[in-house]
Amino acid sequence: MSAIERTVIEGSDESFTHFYRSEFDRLARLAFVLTSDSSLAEELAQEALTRVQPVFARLESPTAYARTVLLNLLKKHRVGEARRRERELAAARPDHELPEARELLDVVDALPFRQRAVIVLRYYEGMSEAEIASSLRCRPGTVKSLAARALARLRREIES
Amino acid sequence: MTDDTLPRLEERLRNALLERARSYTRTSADVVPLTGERHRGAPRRWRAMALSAAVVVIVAGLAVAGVTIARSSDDKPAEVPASPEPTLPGPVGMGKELPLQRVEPPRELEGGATGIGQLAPGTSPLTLQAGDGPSVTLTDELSVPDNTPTRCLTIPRRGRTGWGASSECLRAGVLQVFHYPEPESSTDATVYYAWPEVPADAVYVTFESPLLTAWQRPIEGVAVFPVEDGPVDAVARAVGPDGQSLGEVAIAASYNGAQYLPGMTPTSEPQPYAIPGGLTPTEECEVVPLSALGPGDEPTMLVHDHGTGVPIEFDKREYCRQAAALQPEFTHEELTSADLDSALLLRNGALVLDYHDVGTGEIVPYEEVLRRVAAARAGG
Repeated sequence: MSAIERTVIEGSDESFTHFYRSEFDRLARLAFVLTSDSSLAEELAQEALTRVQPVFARLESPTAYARTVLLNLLKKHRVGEARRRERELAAARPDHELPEARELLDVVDALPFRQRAVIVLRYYEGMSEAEIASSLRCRPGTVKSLAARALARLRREIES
Repeated sequence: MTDDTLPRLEERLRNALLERARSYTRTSADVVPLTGERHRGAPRRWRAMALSAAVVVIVAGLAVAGVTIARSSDDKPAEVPASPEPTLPGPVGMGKELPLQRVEPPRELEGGATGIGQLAPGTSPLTLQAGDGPSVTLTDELSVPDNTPTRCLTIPRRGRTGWGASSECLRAGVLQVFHYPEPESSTDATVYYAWPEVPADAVYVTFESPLLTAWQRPIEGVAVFPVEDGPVDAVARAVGPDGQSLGEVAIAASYNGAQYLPGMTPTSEPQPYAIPGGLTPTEECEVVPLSALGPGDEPTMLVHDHGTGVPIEFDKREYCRQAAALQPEFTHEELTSADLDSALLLRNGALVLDYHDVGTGEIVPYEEVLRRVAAARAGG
């Protein structure tokens, strides 16, 4: 989907609409950092928020819930379509990224999804290990391990 | 570029990721919630792709015997002609109906070949299919050694060398079984949750979780929900003919079997914490907040004991210590490259780490695990 359709949702209350508006950009931006694809990022952000809506009123933390849903969608996406789109995007990475940043981000983009997600959540979202573990639904020790492996690979790649 | 100490690398990462984030521009001027179904084509396609993937073998849970049978056949469940269902409007905001139907038991279960034990007298297996997934079979079996009836959930699975099954048995609560649709993957599980004690008057059951929101008409007091990439915290709720709630069960995400925690909310906000550097995994168990070790802030949690078949209360820190002590000296990738998978299970009050052959599901002795990992390392 290349553009956001404007439609009216039946029964959508004001609080969810407010939540949707406030969270959409944050989620889409997070998805964009992980995928480099703005259309895909918005599609997934919309999908995540749509899944939040039915249970929105009962959630203690809809923001955390939406982030977990988004990460799960991203993880599933990588399995199939992502590889095709990754190839398509390889030649069309954001051309406004500085060479040094682009070099590093190329390595980040090549990381396995969970390692990449840990790096992005830790260094872009500024989340703690416990928060990342909750979002990725794994143990804090697993987050620590994934981060260590990702950082080791980043150092290895950029030094070579 | 040899001056990248860790702090320098971390700083570069922050800057690079921020730079990419700043480069994001929304493709539309306005953001408004969409109707639920208009834009969901792509994710549904991914789901369909995952669910239609081939089915293979693994043995887990109580049926750790690793039984396989030589013949193979299509694992598509045989459908039983069903009587027409009355039209039932779905509950508002609960997503789509995940249809449940009764199907013939898969041939692989004939003769109790794939992990099904001795049936309790007067009972027979109930085989169901939720959506377009594999069939799941519920049985009432006599547990060992006391012959107490337990409810079991079994999913047959075809592997490269034969058939096996994933199964779990409990005396009460929601059953949880891991199913691996991808033949070569020991991750990306679809977790099947079966609630076998839906109140009799329930017209439908709702299932709420971050990964799946759906509703279903139960059959013979059973509701089955497959959650891709689970496990997950969830709430299943039985709803009566007048829309009234007849009961609910809370499901806590668990990698060690089903947990049944009445009153647990679907999500809880984790509290940030810091761990001092230089600690061993065992030492970390003493400083990590209780909420990071298991659901809630309580010092204990319920964990399914695969030896006795019943959930038991377990001290979270002791669980962490035992799990840390069992950590192998090789990585998950090395294990995978040796066609092995591991499962951390509570058995008769103590944690154990079982290793399975990914293809056959059979338990592999530790000495053999070491030999295969070493061979995989040597082979690159």
